[in-house]
Amino acid sequence: MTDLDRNSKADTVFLSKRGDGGSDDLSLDISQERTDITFAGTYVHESPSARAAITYPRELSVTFAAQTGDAGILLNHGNAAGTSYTYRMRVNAGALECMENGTLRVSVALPSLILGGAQDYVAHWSTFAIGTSVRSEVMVHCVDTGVFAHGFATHAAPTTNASWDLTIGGYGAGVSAYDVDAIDSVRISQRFHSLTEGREDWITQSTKPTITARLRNPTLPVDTDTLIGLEGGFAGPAYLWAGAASRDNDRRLVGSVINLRPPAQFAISTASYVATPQRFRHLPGSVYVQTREHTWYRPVPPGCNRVWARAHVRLYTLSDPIDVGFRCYTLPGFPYAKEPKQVQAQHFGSTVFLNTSHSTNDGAWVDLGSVVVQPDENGCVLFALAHVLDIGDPNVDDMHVSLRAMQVTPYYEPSDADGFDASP
Amino acid sequence: MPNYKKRVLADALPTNPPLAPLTGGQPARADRVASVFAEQDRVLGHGRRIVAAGGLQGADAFQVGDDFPESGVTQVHPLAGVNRIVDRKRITLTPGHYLRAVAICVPSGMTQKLDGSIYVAAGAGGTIKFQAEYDNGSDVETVTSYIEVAPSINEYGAESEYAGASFAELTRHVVDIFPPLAPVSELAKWSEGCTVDLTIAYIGGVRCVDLAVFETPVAFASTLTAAPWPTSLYVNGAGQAPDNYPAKYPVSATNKGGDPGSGTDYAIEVARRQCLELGPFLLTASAWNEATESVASTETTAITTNSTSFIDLWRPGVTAWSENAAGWTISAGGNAPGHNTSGPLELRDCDRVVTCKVSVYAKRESNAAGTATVRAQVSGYSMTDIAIASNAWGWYETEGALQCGFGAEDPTSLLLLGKTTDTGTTLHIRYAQIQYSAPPES
Repeated sequence: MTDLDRNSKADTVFLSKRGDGGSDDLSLDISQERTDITFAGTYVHESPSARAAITYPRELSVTFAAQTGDAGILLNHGNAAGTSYTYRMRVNAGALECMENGTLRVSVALPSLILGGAQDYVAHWSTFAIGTSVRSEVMVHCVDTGVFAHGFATHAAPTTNASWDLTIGGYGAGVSAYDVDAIDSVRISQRFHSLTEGREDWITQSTKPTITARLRNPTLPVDTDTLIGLEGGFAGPAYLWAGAASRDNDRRLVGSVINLRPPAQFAISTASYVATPQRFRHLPGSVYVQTREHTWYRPVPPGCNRVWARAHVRLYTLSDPIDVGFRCYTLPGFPYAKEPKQVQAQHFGSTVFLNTSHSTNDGAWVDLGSVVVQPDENGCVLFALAHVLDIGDPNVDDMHVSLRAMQVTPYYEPSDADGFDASP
Repeated sequence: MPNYKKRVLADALPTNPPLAPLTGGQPARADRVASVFAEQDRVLGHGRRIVAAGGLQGADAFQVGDDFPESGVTQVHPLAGVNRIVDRKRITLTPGHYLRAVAICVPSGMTQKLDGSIYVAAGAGGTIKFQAEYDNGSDVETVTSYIEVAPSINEYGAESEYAGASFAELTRHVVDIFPPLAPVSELAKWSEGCTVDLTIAYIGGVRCVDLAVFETPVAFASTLTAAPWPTSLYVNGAGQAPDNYPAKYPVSATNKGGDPGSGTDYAIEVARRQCLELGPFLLTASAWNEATESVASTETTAITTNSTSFIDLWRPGVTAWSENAAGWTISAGGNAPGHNTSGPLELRDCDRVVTCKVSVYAKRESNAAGTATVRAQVSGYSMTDIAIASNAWGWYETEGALQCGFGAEDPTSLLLLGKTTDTGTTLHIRYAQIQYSAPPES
C-alpha cells in the first residue's frame, strides 16, 4: 500500500519521491491520487497526462542534485516531439530555467554550484493570476549551504493540452533528460503555493510561537455554488457556518498602528537635551525621557485592548558603553494645549536596558512588550518611546541613541483563555 | 428610484454570539438566526486601517526653522500658499469606510514671499492639506480637507525653546476626508469598490509632530439588486438591526419579498466576501525627511540608488535582509489568514502568510534600456520583486504572499531593497505601501 506523504495536499495531483527502490520510485504516486506512472529506465512518464495539464494556479517542485556542468530537463508537460509544452523546468548553464509554451519565464542561477561535488537543491515554481496576467515565483535552495536564490516575473497565461505527456527527465522518450538518478522528488499541484509554503514543505518546518492574543483561524469561503444555503438544502449548516465565519473574520481589518523606519539616522545624546530642550520632557513621576520625534498619536481599532511594541535602536559611543533603558508608553489624558485638562495616566510594557556600542549599520531589536491602550474620544492613543541614560556615569555624554524602527501592533488579549468572550 | 438599504457602522462591534444554538439538533429559532445577520453587520466596525502616516518620522528637527525671514535672495522659509507634497497613497478602500486624519502639531512657523527677487516675511501659519480622489470605477469625486495649525507667537514664528515646550504647546487635530454621503444614493455610490488616490501636502509653516490618515467606518448603503453585499444589511429603517427576524420561519434561502438582507443564501455570500476581501493595511512609508528637506521643495526628495546589487533603500549600508536589521512589521497579516495559503494543511498551523499588493511610487532614470528592481523581503525565503521599467513617476506594484507570522506577538522585519541593472541607471523611490489583497483563487 502506498503511504500518503506529508507533502501530499488537497491540491496535489502527483507526488513521488525516491526511496530505497531507486529511480523507479519516482513512478510511484504517493499523493492522494495514487495513480502511478511509468518508469522507463532513463525517464519517468505518463502519456497522456490530463491531470498534469495545469496552467495556473499551479505549483511545481523538484528536488535534485547538481554540480557545475549538469544540464537537462527535470520536468516537462508537452507533446512527444518537445515542440510544444505547458511547462518545462530544466537546468541549463548553471541556472534553473522555468519555461512555458516555448518562452523562458524565469531563470535563477543555482546558488553554491560547484564542480566536482554534487549538491542537493530544492526548486519551487508556483504561479497565480493577477488580472489577466500570471505571476511566477521561483525559489531555489541549496540544501548543503542553506543559500536561497529567487526569481519573479509577471507574464502571459500559458495554454495546455490534455493529450500531452508528463515526463520526469527530459521530454517525450527522455530526450534532453536531466539524469533521472539525480532527481529525488517531484510534486505537481493545482494551487498557488507561497514561497513560505515551499520552505515549510521541503526545507524546514517552523515552530509555532507562543501567542497570548486571540488567534483567528483561516475561514473557508463557501459560495452557494456548493448548494449550501440554497432552496431545498438544510438551513442550519449555512447559518452555523456564517456565524462561525463572522467570529473568525472579526479582526481581519486590524493592522499595525506605528510602523516606522526613519528616513535617516538621528542621534540623541545629553548634548541634545541642552541644544534643543523643547524636544524632551520627563514623563510624570519618572526618570524616563519622552522625545518629541518619538511621540505618535494614532487610532487603535476599538476591539483591541493591548499593543505589542518593539523598537530597533542603535547605540554608539567613543568611550565605554553605559546603560540605556527603553520603554513604550501609552499616555491617556495627555494635557494637550488649548484643551480642558483630564486625569492623566500612563501605561508601559517591558523595561529593556542595553549596554553596548553598535557599528554603523548595526543595532538591536528591543522588545518592549505588551502595553495597555485606552483610546480617547477620537479613538486615538498617544504613544511614546521613552529612554533613560545613566546620568551618573562619567561616560554619559559620549553615548548616542538612534531609533532605526518602531513597530506597534494592536491585538486583543482575552480574559478567558478558552472562550470567545466579547470585545471590550 | 431604486430601493436602498443602509447600515450605520459607527460603533458597531462584534459581540460573538454563541454558536451552540445553531448546531444540529437545536430548534430553529428566528432570534438565533437574526444574531448571525446582526453579527455580520458588525464585522466592519473594527476598521481603523492607517493608510498614511507622517510628521517627524523620527527626525530631530522641523523643516520650518526660526530664521530671520527678511533673507535677501536666499529662501529660508516655505513660500506662502505653495504645496509641499509629503506623501501619496493609492488605497483600495474597505466597504463602508472613508478617510479621516488626525495630527498632533506645535505652533506653525514663518512663511515667505518674493518681493521682486528678495524673500520677505509673509506671516506665520500652517496648513496640512489632504486631497482624496475617490473613484468607484464610474464616478470620481475629489475631496480636499485641511488642518489649520495656529501660528507661533514667538518672533519669526520660532519654536518655543524652554524645556518640554513641544509637549506643553502640543495640539491635536481631527478632520474628515469624506465624499458626499447624503442622500443615501450618494452613500451607496461610495460604499464599495472604491479606490482613493490620497495626497498629503504641507502649506506654510506647518510643524507636524505626527499625523495619520485612516479609514473609519461610517455607513454602508446599497440597492437591493446589488447583493451579495460585503455586510448583511440586516437593518431597520434607522440603519440598525431590527428587533425581529423578518420571516416567521428562518429556513428560507432568500427572504420573502426579495430583500436579500436575510436568508441562508445571503448569509453564505456575505461571509464569503468578508473572509476574502477584508484585511489590514500592512505598511505605509514616505521618504520625506523633515530635518533635511529643503524649504523650497514641492515634493519629497526621493531615495536613490544605482547599486547593481540589492541594498536596503532606507539604509544603504545594509546589503542583505537579516532578522537583526531594522525593518517594518507586517505581523498584522496574521489577522487575515487565507484559507488556501495559511490553512491547517497548507502551513500546518506553524506559520502564516498574508496575500498582499506591494506598491511603490518610483521611477528609474536611464538613457538606455536599464531597469530597476524593488524587492520587499521579510525573511530569507519570503519576498517579491517589482520591476521599475519607466522613466516616469508612477505606482509600480505586484501581488504576492509574504510570511507574516501569527500577529502582533510574532515579530517580522520587512526591508525594501533596491538595485539596478547597470550603474548608469538610477532607481528613485518616494513612497511605498503594502495592503492586503484577496488570496488567489484555487
